[in-house]
Amino acid sequence: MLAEIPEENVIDRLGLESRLEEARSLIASVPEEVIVNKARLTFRGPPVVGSHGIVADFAAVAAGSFAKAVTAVAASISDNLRDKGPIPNRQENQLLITGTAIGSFGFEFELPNPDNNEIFPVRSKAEDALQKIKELFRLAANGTDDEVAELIDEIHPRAVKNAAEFLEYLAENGAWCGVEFKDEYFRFSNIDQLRFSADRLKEDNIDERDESYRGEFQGVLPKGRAFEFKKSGDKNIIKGKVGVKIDDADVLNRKFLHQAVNAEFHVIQFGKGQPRYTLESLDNISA
Amino acid sequence: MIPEWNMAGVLPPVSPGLPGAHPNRSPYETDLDHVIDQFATSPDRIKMLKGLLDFRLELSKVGITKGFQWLDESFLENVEDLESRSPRDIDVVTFYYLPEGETQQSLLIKQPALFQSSNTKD
Repeated sequence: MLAEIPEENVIDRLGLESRLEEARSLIASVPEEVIVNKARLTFRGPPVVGSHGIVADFAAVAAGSFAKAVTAVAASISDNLRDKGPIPNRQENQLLITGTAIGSFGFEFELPNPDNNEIFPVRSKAEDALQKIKELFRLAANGTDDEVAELIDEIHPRAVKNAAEFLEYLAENGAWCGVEFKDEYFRFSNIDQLRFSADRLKEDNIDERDESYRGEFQGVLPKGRAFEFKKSGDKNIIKGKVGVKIDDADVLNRKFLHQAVNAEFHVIQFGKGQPRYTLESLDNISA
Repeated sequence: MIPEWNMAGVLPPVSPGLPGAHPNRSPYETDLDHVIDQFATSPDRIKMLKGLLDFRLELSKVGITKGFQWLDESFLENVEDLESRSPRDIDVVTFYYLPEGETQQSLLIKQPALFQSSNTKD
């Protein structure tokens, strides 16, 4: 515009030059990197009218149920989630609806950002939670029981229950969904696949128990946190992992290696998959 | 005639109730009396409008008496409701006829501060 204004039109130029300077100043003041993570949740089925709209009742409950599942999974990642009571840190892990998502119909969510003033900013728990939920849906639809068990082992059963409740609500309404995050997405193919997945994630398909054994720890990988435990009088080896409450997994090598002990493990078994063993606390080891 | 703010707290693009192609649309043609009647609703807004009047007075002193102005920015929005604050400024674009016998250069020499937005904003 400035290039097209004759030099003698000094007032016209002055006005535009002033606005150009203001625009440059505004651009310069924007932080270099403002990454806002967004996720999209879209729905198909009877409550959805193409990419035109969605039944309000359904959308309100479904969006709320999904957001609840995210906060529950985020809390479980922080190891704060208990079997009952309010979901901890719910406000910090709240999703923000920032728009609608097209391609059927749904919502665009903004995730809470980590504190950008931190020297080493960490990824928000909500981001991890969303990845896990997307993966949980994918594995519930297509994965083996062992693959699902491995993921469920990382998430508190209550959080899995919240995710399952979301799917059950969709199933009740004949709807299915897709989740997109960080340029990757998973979408249920149809209502049958969603119902199949919802059934798989039901509480009665997840067996959670504590089991005690006498035996000897054969070793622990300090970084990988995987252990082997040989049961007394049995050539079978229990392979499991050291839970997050034990800061230094290597303590098992230092204090308990090849010593006869009683150990209690938390066991999760999904469907017909292999049981997964976790040593949750050093208090669960006794002589 | 300027319509009322819509639910989004801004002036609607077309006067309510009229078809989308109707000429009664933004920017709404009006006079200063109506602008004052509609928007002088708080001490902060009154102060800004006085500033606008002062600016127009200075323009008339250098002979600029024919033309029109576009008004925009938070002054034209219901920021008191939307953001619980007073408007910060009025954005003004002035379209004017050069006074008889003047050029842009001669005007600028007469009153350089009048044409610097950094001065007139204050």
